[in-house]
Formats: sequence, C-alpha cells, structure tokens
Amino acid sequence: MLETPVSPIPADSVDLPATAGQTREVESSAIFWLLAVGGLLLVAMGWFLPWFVEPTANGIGFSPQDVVSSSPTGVGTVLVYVMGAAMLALLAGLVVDAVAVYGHRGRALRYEGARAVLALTGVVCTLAIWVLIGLSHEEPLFGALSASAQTDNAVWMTLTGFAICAFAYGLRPWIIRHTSVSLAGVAFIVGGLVPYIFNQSSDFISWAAGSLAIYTLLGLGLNVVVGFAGLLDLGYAAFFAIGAYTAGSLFGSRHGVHEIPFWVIIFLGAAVAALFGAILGAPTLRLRGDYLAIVTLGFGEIIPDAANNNLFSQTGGPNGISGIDRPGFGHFDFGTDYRYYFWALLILISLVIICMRNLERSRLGRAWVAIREDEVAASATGINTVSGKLLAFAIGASVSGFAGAFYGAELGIVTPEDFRFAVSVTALTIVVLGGIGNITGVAVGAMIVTFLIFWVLPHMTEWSTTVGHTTGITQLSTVPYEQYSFVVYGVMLILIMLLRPAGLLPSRARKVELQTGMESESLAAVRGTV
Amino acid sequence: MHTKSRLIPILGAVALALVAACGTSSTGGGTTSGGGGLAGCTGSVTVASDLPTSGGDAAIGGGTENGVRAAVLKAQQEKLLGGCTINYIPKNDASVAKGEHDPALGAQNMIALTTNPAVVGVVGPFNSSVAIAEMPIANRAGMLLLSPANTNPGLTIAGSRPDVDTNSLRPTGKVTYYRIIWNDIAQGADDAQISYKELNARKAYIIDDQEAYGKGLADFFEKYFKQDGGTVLKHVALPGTTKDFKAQLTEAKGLGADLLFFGGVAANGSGIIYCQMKDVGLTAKYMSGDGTVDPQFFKDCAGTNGDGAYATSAPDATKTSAGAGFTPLYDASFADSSRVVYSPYGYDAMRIVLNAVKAVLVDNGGKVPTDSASFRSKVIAKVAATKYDGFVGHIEFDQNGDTTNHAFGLYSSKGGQWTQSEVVQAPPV
Amino acid sequence: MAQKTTDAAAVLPPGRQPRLDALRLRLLPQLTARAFPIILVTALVGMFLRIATTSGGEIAGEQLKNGLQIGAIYALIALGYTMVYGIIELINFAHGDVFTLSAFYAILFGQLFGFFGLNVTTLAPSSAGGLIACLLLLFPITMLAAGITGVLIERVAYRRLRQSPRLAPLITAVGVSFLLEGVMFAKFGAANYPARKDGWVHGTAFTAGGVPVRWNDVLVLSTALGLMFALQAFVRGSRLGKAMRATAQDRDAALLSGININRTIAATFFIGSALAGAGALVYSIYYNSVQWNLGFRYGIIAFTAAVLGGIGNIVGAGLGGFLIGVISVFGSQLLGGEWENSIVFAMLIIVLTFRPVGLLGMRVPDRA
Repeated sequence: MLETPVSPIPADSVDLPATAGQTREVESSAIFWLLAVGGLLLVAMGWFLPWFVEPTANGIGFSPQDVVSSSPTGVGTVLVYVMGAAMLALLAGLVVDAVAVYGHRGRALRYEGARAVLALTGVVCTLAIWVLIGLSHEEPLFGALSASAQTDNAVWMTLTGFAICAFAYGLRPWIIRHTSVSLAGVAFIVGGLVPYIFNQSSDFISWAAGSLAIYTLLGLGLNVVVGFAGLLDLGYAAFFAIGAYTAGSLFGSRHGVHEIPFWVIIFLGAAVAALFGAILGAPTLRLRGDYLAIVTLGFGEIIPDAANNNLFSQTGGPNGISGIDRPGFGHFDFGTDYRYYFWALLILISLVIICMRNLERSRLGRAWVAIREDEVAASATGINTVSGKLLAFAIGASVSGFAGAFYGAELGIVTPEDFRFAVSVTALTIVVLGGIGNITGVAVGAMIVTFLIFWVLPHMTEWSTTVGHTTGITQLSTVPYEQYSFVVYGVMLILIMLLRPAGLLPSRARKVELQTGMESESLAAVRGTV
Repeated sequence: MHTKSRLIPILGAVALALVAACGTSSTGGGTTSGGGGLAGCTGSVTVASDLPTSGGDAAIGGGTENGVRAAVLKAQQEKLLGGCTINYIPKNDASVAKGEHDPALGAQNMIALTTNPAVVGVVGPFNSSVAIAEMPIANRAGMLLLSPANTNPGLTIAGSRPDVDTNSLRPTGKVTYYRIIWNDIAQGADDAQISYKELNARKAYIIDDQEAYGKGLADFFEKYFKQDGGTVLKHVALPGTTKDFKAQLTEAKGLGADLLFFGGVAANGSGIIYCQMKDVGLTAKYMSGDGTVDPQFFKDCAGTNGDGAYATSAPDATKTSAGAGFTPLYDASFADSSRVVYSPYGYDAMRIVLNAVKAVLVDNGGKVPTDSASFRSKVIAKVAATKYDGFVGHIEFDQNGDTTNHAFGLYSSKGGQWTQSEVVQAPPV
Repeated sequence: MAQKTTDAAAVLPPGRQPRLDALRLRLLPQLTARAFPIILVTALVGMFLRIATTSGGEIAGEQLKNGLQIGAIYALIALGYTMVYGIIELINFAHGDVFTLSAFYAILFGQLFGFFGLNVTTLAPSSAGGLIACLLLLFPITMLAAGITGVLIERVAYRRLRQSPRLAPLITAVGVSFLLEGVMFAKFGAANYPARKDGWVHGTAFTAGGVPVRWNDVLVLSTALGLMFALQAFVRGSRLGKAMRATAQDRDAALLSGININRTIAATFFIGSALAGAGALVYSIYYNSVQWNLGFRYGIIAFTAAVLGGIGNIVGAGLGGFLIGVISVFGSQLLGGEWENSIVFAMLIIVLTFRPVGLLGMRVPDRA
C-alpha cells in the first residue's frame, strides 16, 4: 500500500461550491422567515403560555388571553384588543406569504413596512398594558382579573415576539446581508431573556440551564471530534465525567479547597478533560471508523466503572462526590437559582460557538477536513495527522469539561451513573440530528432532543391528565407513559434518521462532500433497484 | 435549496394550529379556597411524589409509587381531609438519557414542585444521589421531603459518610428531610450481629450491586462483621445487570466461605445468586438486607431451591395488628406482581404527609391555609412530631429526621415465601 | 497496516532520519501484532495457574468451565455481529436486543405449546427424551422468529440508509435498540422475567478431573460449537454463503456478477439473528430468567468477542467468545468482580491497538 496514489484533495470538497452565492441567498431568506415566524410564534405562545409551560389540572390564568376571557370591563382592555388585532394581522400576512411562496399565488411580503409598524404597535401595546397593570393594579383599567394573574412572563414573551417581528419586517434587506450577525444577535438576546420569558416556570429555567445548556455544550464538543475531524466517538461521556469529577473534587468539601473560584475551576476541569482527551485519543490514532467508535465506547464504559469502583479512593464510589460548592460571582450567590447558571452558561456557550466557528475556518479546521476526507492524502500533503487528531480529541473533550464543571455545581453531586453510555448516545444523537459538522445544527439538535427527553417525556402524564380532565376522557389520565418513553425515543431516532439521514440542518461543506462522494461510487444509484 | 419551500408551510401550519387553538381554549381561574370545619373543608391540598418509575428502576420505583397512590386513594375514599380534595402529582425522576434515575431530572422536578405554591409535601426521592441533588432545593423552599427508601446515613447524620457533606444539603440549617426507613448503619450492624451470633458465620464473602443502597449496606456490614470478630474474605461489587455470579461464587467456595452476604435489591440478583450458589456447590449460609425480601427472589430462584436464605427487613407487616392487610389494600388497586418491598414504605410515607396536612387543617380551623410558605412549614412541624403506627411499624423521627424504629425482622425463605422467624433490635452503634 | 507506515513516513518533519523512525514505527506494532496470540495464551495460562495455586486446581478448573459456558453464549451472539459487520460494516447495536427479545420468544413459545396440551415446562425437566423433544420443537421456531425479527429490522431501519453517511445507520441501530428495549419493558415489565422451572437439566452430567459438569453446560457448549461449525460450513460451501462472501468483499462486483445484494444481506441478518435466537434459547434454559435490558451488556461483550477473533471471521467470533468468557471469569477472580466490564473493554482496546485484525482476522476495515 506504500504506493497508494496520492490524489490531491478536490477543491470543491473543501471550498464552497460554485453556487455558494445562490445558496447564501436562499439560506438568508430562510433566516428572515425564521425570524418572522419565530417572532409570531413567541407572540402566540405568550397568549397560550399556561398551556405550554405548566398546565395543571387547575388551569392557570396568567396571559393576555385571560384578560380577554375573564370578562373584561375596563378601558385598558382596548389595548389588549389592539394587541390581538396586530397579532392576527401579522398572522394573516404570514398565511398570505405562505400561499404566495408555496402555492405560487399572489406576491409574498407585500406591505412590509406596514407590518413592521403593526409589530411595533404590538410592542407599544404590550408595554403599555404591562406598565398600566403595574401602576394601577389592574382593577380600574382591566376589570377583575383572577387573583393569581401575573402577566410577567406572558408579557415578556409577547414583547420579544413583536420586537423580533418588527426587526424582521423592518430590516429585511439588512438581515439578508448580515445573516449570521442578525441570527446570532437575536438568538443571544432572546436567550438572555429566557429567564424572564419563563419567569413563572422555574423548572423550565432549570431545564434550560441544566439539560439544555449542558447537552448543548456536549453536542458542540462532540461536534469537533465527530463533525470536524470525522472521528466517531461513542464514549464522549467519559470526558464529561472527567471534567465533572475534577471540578467537583476541587470545588467543594472533598478536598477542602474553597479558595479557588469556580471560574478558575471550570478551566481546570476543561484542561484535565482535554489532557485525558489526548491521552485516550493516542491509542486510537491508528484506528478508523467503527473500530475507533468501539474503542471509545470501551473508554466510555471504563471511566464510569473506575469512578464507581472508587479509583484511588478519589471518586467516592457509587455515592459519587457531593458537597460541591455553589459558585458565585461578585455579589451574586448562584445557590440553586438556575437563572444565574443559565446566563453564565449562555455566555460560555456563545464564546464556545465563536471559538468553534473560528476554529472551523482556521488552518487546523482545514486540516481536519482533509483528515476526515482522506487521511492518507492529508498526510501526504504535509498535514500532521497525529497532532490534528489529538487536538480534535483534546478540544472536543475540553468543552465537555466545562459542561461537567457546571453540571456538578448545579446539582451539588456527581455520581458515576450520570456518565453512562446513554449520555454518550444522547450527545451523539444531538450532533447527528442537528447536522454533523454544523454548529447551528448542533444547537438546534440540542434544543429538540433535550426538550423531548427532559421536558416532553416527563410531562406526558401531566399533560395527558389535563387533557383527560378537560375532555372528560378519564382513561387519558391513566396511560402509563413512563413505560413507553423508550419506545418513543427509539422510534424518534429511527424516523429522523430515515427521513433526514444528514440531519436537520446539514453542514454545507458536508453536503457537497456527500454528493461528490455519491457520484464517485458509480453503482451506488443502481443498488437500490436490484 | 429546499429550505425555503419546506420551512414556510411547516411554520405556517404551526401558526394556524395556534389560531385554531385560540378559538377553543378558555381555561382560567386559580385555586380557590373555602372555609368551615374539616367536614365543610372546601379547598384542595396538593401532595406529590418523586420516584423513578421508568427505565432500569421501573419495577422498584413503580411499585413504591403504587404504594404512594394507594395511600392517596385510601385517604380520598375515607375523606381524610373532610370536604377538601387531595390532588396528587406524581413525578418521575428517571430519564431516557440516563436510562434510570437522574439527579438532574430530580432537581428539575423538585424545582417544579417547590415553585408550585399548591404543593405542600413530597414523598421521595428513592435514590440517595437524587436526594443529594434535591435536598438543597427543597430545603431552601421549606418543602417537606419524606423519603420511603433512602438509606444513606450521610443524608441525615453529619460526618457519617466521608463522601456526603450533610450540612450542604441543609442550606437553611433547618431539617426538612425525613425518612421512614432506617439507615445503612443500623441495618449493617444488625445483619452483622445476626450473621455472627445466630448463624454462627465466621468467614464472609460479600457481594454488592454497585448501587448506593447495596454498597452502603455491604460496607457497613463489612465494618460491623469485622468488629464482631468475623473475617471478610472478599468484598466484590458487580453491576446490577450481572446475571452470572458463578465466577465469584466458585471463588467463594475455593476460599471456604461460610456466609455469603449480598448487599443489593432482588432486581439486581438476590435470587439469581442464591440459586447459582447451589449450582456451583457453595454451601455457605446466605444473608442479605431488605432489598432481598421481595417476591422477585422466588421468581429468580423458584421451588425448593429458594429455601433457606436469610434476610432482614422491617418487622413483618402482616404479623403486627396495625400492619395487617397492606397486601389486600394494595391489590385492590394494583396488580400484586407490581408490589415491591418498598410499597408499604411508600404508603406509610404518604399517609404521614396526609396526616400532617390534616393536623394543620384542624389547627387552622378546618381551612386550607392561604400562605403556601407557612402551610409548608406547619406540615414539616407536624411531620417532625409524628407518632404513627404504620404497615412498616411504629414511626417517630429524631432530630436529624431519621426514624427511631430500629427493629428488624429476620426472615428466612421457605416454599416461595419470606417468613419472619424473630424480631431483632439493631445493636447500638 | 502497511498503509499506516505511509502516514508515519509522511508526518515526519524534513531533515530527520526517516529510515530509523519509520523502521521503529513499522516494526514495533508488527512485532506486537505477531506476538499477540502468544502473549494472550501466556497470560491466560498464567491466570489459570495463579488461580490454581491460590484456590486449588479444582476451583481453577471450575472457573475455566464457567468461563467457557458464559463464553459459549457470547460466541453465539458474536456470530451475528461478525456476519453483519462483515457484510455491510454496520455495528448492529440492536443485535444484543434481538438476543433478549428472542429469549422472550423462547419463553412465549414454551407457554404457547402449553395451550396445545404440550407442556414444555414439565416435559423438559422430566427426562432427557422430553428435553430433546422440547428442544427440537423450540429451537427451529425460536430461531425462525428471531431471524424474521432481524430481517424486519434490516428492511425497516437499515436498508434505506445503505447509501447514507456512515453515522446514520449507527444512530438508527441505537434507535432500534431503544425501541426493542422499550417494547420488552412495556410488555414484560422491568423485573427479571422467569423462564422455566428447574429440573434435572441442572443436574450433574459427569465429573471431569474433579470439576462437575452439568447437563446445561453440555447443552450450551454443544449448541455453540455445533452452530458455529454448521455456519462455517454453510458460508464456505453453499451458494448463498458464496454470495455472502462475495458481497462482503466487493458489493459492486458482486452485483455485477448477478448476486441479489438485498436478498443476500437480508439472509445474513436472518442467519445472524437466528443464531442469537439459539443463544437466547439456551440462555433462558440456563439462567431461568430474562430481563429487558440484558441486550446492551451482552451485545457489547459479544462485539468485543467478534473483534478479538477478527471481525468477519466466523470461527474467530466463536473463539473470541470463548476467550472473552474465560478472560472475564479469570480476571474478575484475580482483580475483583467490579472490574469485570473494565477488563473486557481493556481487552478490546488492547486488541484493537496492537492487533486490529483480531486473532484470526484477515483484513483491517479501512473505510472511515
């Protein structure tokens, strides 16, 4: 095999295709639609918030919708109706657009300016309602509201939604020119507002700061290994564990080191995880594809086993490490208030994403593409494949080290059970579902997967009970959803992969690679027909 | 390429669905509260449980939750709170991502329960790791946690386990966590004493199931068995999924063990081990904890093969006058096969919570207190003062929140049943 | 591995002496690879002797028997892994769960016969003839059901993804695994599901050198060995076997020479799953109970066995299964049972690092 012909990497597998400009145009308008529709969705969610966040058998009245439905009498109710009218008008516009684009009838996006004004009206009305309720305690202006009516989070949601709509319709050309900036900016701002938007439901915030943020970090880190460098890692939870154990034992009562601030500890956790990433990566350098996957799976099982067996009496056995301190920042004691964790993680994730995007386009990122595509050719062109692979493992692991440090701090405990195979699979699912190699895709994948696993499945029973109460179908209250959670998850994985094998948002470069890859296998198309 | 044409209809459909929902939905109003005597009590009281009821813990956690449900049903039937209704929120802390109990989901559940002003008390959790994640949250919120199953001594007694920082679990300094089950120290000491003095065992081979309960029990058994004068040949930990213990049992035979101690639950192999002991010809006595006193033992080791094993558990409920009849009570609502050793603990825990709620309502003149925080703290105060005779025996709590009842029944297996031969008081430790 | 040296040579910075480094990089792995079987056998003998000196020869012999018996079950599962991986290079994560599901099939069929007045649970323990009659009934029907399950899984979850990125079928495999586990969990509950009553099958058949060997040991071992060699003969000799080998070597060329690829792959899944079904049947007889989540651990260990033996190699998978069984039993006595899983996985990593072709393997799969 020494005389393997060294083929140059085809230019178009690295660079963007010739139609890049065109693609960019389509994708940017997609981003515009995302903003427009997403904004309106937020408005609508503001109206139906109780249904979305925490439906209970009692029913809760928090939202503007309740202002309308609780027989309004006051003058201020006019504002609510104006707000509702703005929402419905925007919605109608969207429906017309959908018919225009999809059904090829009429013209999309007429009266853009007017829509922006409508959305701004919505913003003003929402603000006015909020201020007025706050000032005069509802009664004179809005009539009798239920005692527990608290409009905060519904208002935040509606407000944000209208603002996004105004931004989308008012500044469409600018958005199309600056797609990443506008998307990232909106995502960051909306993300930062999440603790307000979901003010009423602190378990939703704990979901966002716990499961969502942690798994987003895991997905981003795993994406470096699997997506960028093409090394299939089935034991990624091992690095998560190493980060969590390192940070947990340094930051807490276990070793009595209370002096080191948490913000230093997280980097220590990341550094140790990175070190282990390189160490565990070393024996796998010679392996490819599935063999690599199986070796990493082996590591992924050995690490929690070692933790469970109280290795060197440092890991606490099955009880794990507890008594982990809660971080603080200046005057803010994070305690068990998940809002602070959420904001800290949001900033961390944003920084990680910025680093990842730069990394992807750096020299190292291009080296990874080369290694992923053809390792022999890559090394022949002078790329150091050894350091490239080790760096991929180390960088990927370091991100999970951050995640581990936060995980331990949020819960106050880390145990070996938290890092088993299922966690690696979940992280991998996030990456594959979102679109391997695509950072935005990974973020979206994390949202979908964690929402399903940690929000929808645990709430199925309650929701079903609520629906059962409302509709009178009492059998719904007794469906044992817990029994079927595995089935639902499994079916979901299968369906998504069958319908979109390249993920929801396939990486642009990857897409090109896949297509050229197909063409080179001339018989590939025939196979299915025999 | 196709992004545009696909995205719009999907999102459009979502928006349309929301519009459609707009026309039909009109729920409103919050919890209302009324007054009068307890018979004329008109409000509602919400209690909750947080147990792992899916994945790997489904059998044991689900059976416990059924016990909790049985208590709620019973209280609803006999109108324990008079005219007031009892709402019950069951939470499940097992996640698909872990495949079993998940401290992160437990914390999320606990936040949901503590921020729901209607909830006054929670039965749970099941696993000590979940307890460590949930206890600070519940403690800050002043919410009662009453565990039917946590046996880790570190949860209540500061300094008893080096790996648990008990004080960090009580950030407010108040005790809000109670448990109606003994801790591992009491049972470990008890099992060691019985093994040494009554079974005359001197050389023990210990297997645990690598879980917090099994390992904790096995560790304390080892400690006290050595203190009593016995020898521990080896202590191995095998994952709960292990089905083949022949390698360890053959080794035990080679070492000449006269006692095999298993720290773990029946689902993790109590019966399998006992049957495989016969297969490899290990003639040692078999001793285990309450996790083994479970019908599952005889499913895994049926017929006469299952005879002759020993285990300690709560004194036999069916032999105490107060405890008779748990099985028919349970079977009235749930399949008998789903009943587990913790089911009566789940029942008693929920019953203690409901009794405390009742006492608070009576004190409050038969009304549901409107202030959630003071309602919760009053419930905790009532629970702390509990004197209750339940299916699992007499329950009072000490200042740490532990039960003062350290009586154990010594059970032996015969004819597919666990039969209590005597009641033993755990030695002072 | 020759390919690897290309990499090594290429990454060297200019100016250094390439020959020495290249030599070292090439020689060291090759030496360890050559010596690997010898090291392995030496280690096994050493472990055996260590146990024999500390606990006595009979205990050591008994442990060897324990290892071979559990290894026989791993071997039967490993055969399915090795066949599927050999032909479409997919780690069929669901295979372990097909094994578990088949054990439930075996139990259900046993109960089903009861409806027709043929009580397997009493017939099997009654006498040797009764057991053989039972097995003759249960083996074909369980294997058939298991095989059909395997084919269905391939048809629904894998076939459409044959042209997709490598990760997609792996994720669906994990999805199928979750689905099967979920179905078993919902249907049979979380606890151990009792299989059949104890009987004479657990009695001692004969004693070899002080080691009692029971009938069920004989059953497990003979099933594994018999099916392994039957499969080997089938793949070597039959037309379909040739088609399988051809498809494994070069799918496009096989297609050109008129082989029906889809049917061949489906047949591979059928046979692999049917063997897991046979393993599941003897498992259910041996251990008396099945649990819904058994598949993950047995599947992973069996895959390790297939890799140890050399993936794609049928005798290798069998050999790997027996070796892993013995290694895990010896290892857990010497190092403590809590390290049993770690020992198996460490073994896997060592094999893949030093001898990626496995003990009897022929090639390194190099498709990344």
